[in-house]
Amino acid sequence: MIQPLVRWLRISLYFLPLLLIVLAYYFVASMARTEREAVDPDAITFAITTVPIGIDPLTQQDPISEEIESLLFDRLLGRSPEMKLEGRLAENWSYGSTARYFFRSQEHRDHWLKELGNAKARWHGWGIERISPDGEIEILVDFNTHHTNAKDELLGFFAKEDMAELIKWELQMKDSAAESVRSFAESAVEGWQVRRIKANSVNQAEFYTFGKLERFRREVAIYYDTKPELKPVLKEVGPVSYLFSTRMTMNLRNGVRWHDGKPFTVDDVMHSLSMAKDSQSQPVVTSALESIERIEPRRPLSFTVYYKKPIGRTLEMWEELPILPAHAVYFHVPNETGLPPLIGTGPFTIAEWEAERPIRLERNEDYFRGKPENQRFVYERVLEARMRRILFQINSIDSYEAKPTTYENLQNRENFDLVKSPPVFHTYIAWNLQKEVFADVRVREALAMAVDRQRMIDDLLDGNGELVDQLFHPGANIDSKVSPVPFDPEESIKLLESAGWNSIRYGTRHKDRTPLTFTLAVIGGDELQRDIARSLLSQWRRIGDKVGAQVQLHIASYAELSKLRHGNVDFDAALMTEPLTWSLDQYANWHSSEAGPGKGNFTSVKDQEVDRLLEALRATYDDSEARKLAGELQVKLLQLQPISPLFRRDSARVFQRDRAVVVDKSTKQGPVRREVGENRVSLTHDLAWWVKIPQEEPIGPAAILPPLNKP
Amino acid sequence: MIQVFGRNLALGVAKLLLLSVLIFVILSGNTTYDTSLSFLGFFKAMFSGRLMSDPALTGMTPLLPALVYSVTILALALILSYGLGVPLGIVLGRYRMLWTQVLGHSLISITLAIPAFWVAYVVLYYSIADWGIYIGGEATQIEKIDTIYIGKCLLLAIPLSLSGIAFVARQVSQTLTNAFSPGSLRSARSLGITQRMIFDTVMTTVIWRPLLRSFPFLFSLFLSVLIVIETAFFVPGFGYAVYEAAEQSDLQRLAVLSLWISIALLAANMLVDIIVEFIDERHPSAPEMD
Repeated sequence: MIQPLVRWLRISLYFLPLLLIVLAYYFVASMARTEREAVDPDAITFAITTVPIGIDPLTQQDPISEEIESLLFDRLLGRSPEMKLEGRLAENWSYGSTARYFFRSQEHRDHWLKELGNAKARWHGWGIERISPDGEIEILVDFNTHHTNAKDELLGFFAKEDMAELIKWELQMKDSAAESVRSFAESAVEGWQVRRIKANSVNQAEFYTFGKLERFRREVAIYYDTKPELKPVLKEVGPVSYLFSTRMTMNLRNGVRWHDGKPFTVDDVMHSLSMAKDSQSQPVVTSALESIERIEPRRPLSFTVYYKKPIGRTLEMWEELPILPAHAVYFHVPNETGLPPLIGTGPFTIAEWEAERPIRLERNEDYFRGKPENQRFVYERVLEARMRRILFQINSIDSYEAKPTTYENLQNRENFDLVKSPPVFHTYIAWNLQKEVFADVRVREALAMAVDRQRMIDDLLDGNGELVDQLFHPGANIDSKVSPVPFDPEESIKLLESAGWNSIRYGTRHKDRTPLTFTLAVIGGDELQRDIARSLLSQWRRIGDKVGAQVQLHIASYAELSKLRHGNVDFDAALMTEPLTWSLDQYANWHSSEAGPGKGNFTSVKDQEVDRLLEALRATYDDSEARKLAGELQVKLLQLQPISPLFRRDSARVFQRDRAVVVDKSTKQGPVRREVGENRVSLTHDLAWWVKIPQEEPIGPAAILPPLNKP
Repeated sequence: MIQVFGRNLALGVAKLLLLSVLIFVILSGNTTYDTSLSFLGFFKAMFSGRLMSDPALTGMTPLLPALVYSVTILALALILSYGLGVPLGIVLGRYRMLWTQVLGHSLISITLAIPAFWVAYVVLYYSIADWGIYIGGEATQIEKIDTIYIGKCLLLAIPLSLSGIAFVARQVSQTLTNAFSPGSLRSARSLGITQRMIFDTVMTTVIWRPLLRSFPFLFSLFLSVLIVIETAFFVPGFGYAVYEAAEQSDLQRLAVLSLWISIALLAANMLVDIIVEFIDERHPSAPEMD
């Protein structure tokens, strides 16, 4: 019984190694087959280090989410590689203006309407597009330009004695100023004299009257004297001959379709505007909307915006507006199941985005600017730097973002292309001026002076940063020389002492009984930001050989920092890194009226000169004047230090040598081929047009393209 | 039988307690979650499952899939070690021609001398380069245990098992050499017992003991090497979790992981002790040959 068993055992022992080897081969080979089939030659694969939060065009997300968002959504306007403003969903736009003339009676008005109609031969010279009667005594004249002298020339055309002279009034109140004037006009005996009411803001309105002035003065004075709780301030500005307002008409591109095939129309733009207004996170749009009197949609593909006052930089607002579908969802949360697919108009759509899986974007075959050459993008999370390097070397990933400390090493490698963006990433400290500590500019300046920025650039960025104090994108061509705040510990201590922070108690600097302590908010998911924050903390703790400030770190998420940026979260100081803006209209970020929840002036800086510059900048249509004003604004803001710049730097990506190009199909002269990074806006500005050249001889679409002209 | 089991179990528990005290004293000083953790709390944290799914641990390798990865790799490495090591040892122990001896022992020496880390690098790097395979990275979620999963684990088990094969082969060949000493062969022949009969007896009785006794050592060796290999190649297994905990100075997690490893080793040791004693009980006449 035992003998056969032992024999079998013996035989099987000899065959065991063979069996094991065969099994091992089977398992490894079948895995290899599956893996080889999984390699996607038509995809550009990026290695990323953080988990993107998800897509929501209405809020500021993490950089990867924003990058993906730019592939899924288009805006009305965009920038060319040379930074020129160009139409995307908007085909074209034109400016115009309207003058409103008032006459003594309806007979006078009708007479002059007829006369002006008869003088049609002169319309072209005046730039008149259309004339129409309005109300009982008004003539509306539409001009085809926003700045015209014809509006004054027409005063000479009409007989002066037939025209009514309006009186302009301004009312400032605690709340609902325009509503108050409206209710006065409806209820008061002399209310009929109010001809026009314009709400400039919630607490400010202007209105125009025509009639018996003395009676009106008396009644309106009595009316507002009885309402002291509203703190009304009424001012009679004086007579005006006509009312003038500007307008802009934008025509949308025909034939654009959302990813679900529905046509893009003006209703989507109107929907997007109301969504942006309600979101509490689009301060640029919200702020600009306050200058708009009304928007008239002209279905299906055009709309006209009437402005309360001239706004030369209006296109910058329309450039910022995220365009969302009125009929479908526009956001994507990877952890939430059961959501319908996200709908945009962009060159790519989400094919797969689930938690813990690579993100896949598939090209939009129906894209209105031309189908992208690249079939799909894959974002794969690879945490470790060494793993990224291995995967890159074996072509398993096509590109990854390089840290500044690795630039030198990467540049010396034969097969690697290190492509850098323009230096647009601006790292700065934002101070909350509502906090008592930072209300004094000397404290802000002292803390800025205590930081050895050059050493931080050398240590943390390996020298790959620029010590420049600048608030605008280098491509915006703002001409103002601001010398950076110097590193001067002694001067810093002097400033702190002059500001009253001169007593040292229990090892902490005090002013009276208040210690110099505050919290610095910093993004948690970014290693470099954390390192910068730690460096700042140690530099502030001891300034030179003196006691400095005690600072605590507050590690924040992207969502929290985004809320902070829009005034929705309280903070002391925050360390931020943002791309420098090319918008010259900075009204939403720095105007004193823009401080508060859901608004852009999150540092709460309030300065009359800054306000004046911002208002002038927003109004001007002249680009060179706007740049000059922006330069002055930059100088003024850097004096006030609501933010203290640290440095600016570029971002860089690694590619396989000579294997990444851009084939831009959106140009008028047909597909243009250029190098990745060859644009002045940002590295990923033309991401939609990136093409991966196959490793061997070019085949498929890449082969028929003209050869790459290398400088 | 019950007595043997009971005695070993009691001994095992005592050893475990001693180990826990040692680990707790050394490592529980600094922790991410509880600053003042009692010895009992430490035990509770270990078994409550908090370390497997604590939301505060986002970014760290989850322990349960990590455990599945590592256990599969270890199991495969053990199968390879014994499956290839035993036959190799038998060949070396039984056939004593010069060339088999020189070849076999050289093979064992070289296999023992090659660092498993280097073999892993070669296997993994070339498997990536040639077949587009890579292990680890973000593949923390084990979707299903299929041929691809086994294949991936095999790639790591192969370098791990090389030293195991050599170790087992040497143990087996040594046992057989002792059993087939020239003296005992001569006396056997005089009694009319063939060499094959002796071999069969050895195979069924004596050979199991060195094999069993070597098991805890192999297990311990594999665990140490696994930590290095998983760390170097980002395999999201147990060894990587140990590295992560150490890197982030999460000493509590490190302590718990150390304790788990200790428990596994103690359990393996105890199991072997019990089986060996059980075999000895069943074969009281079994010749002492080690």
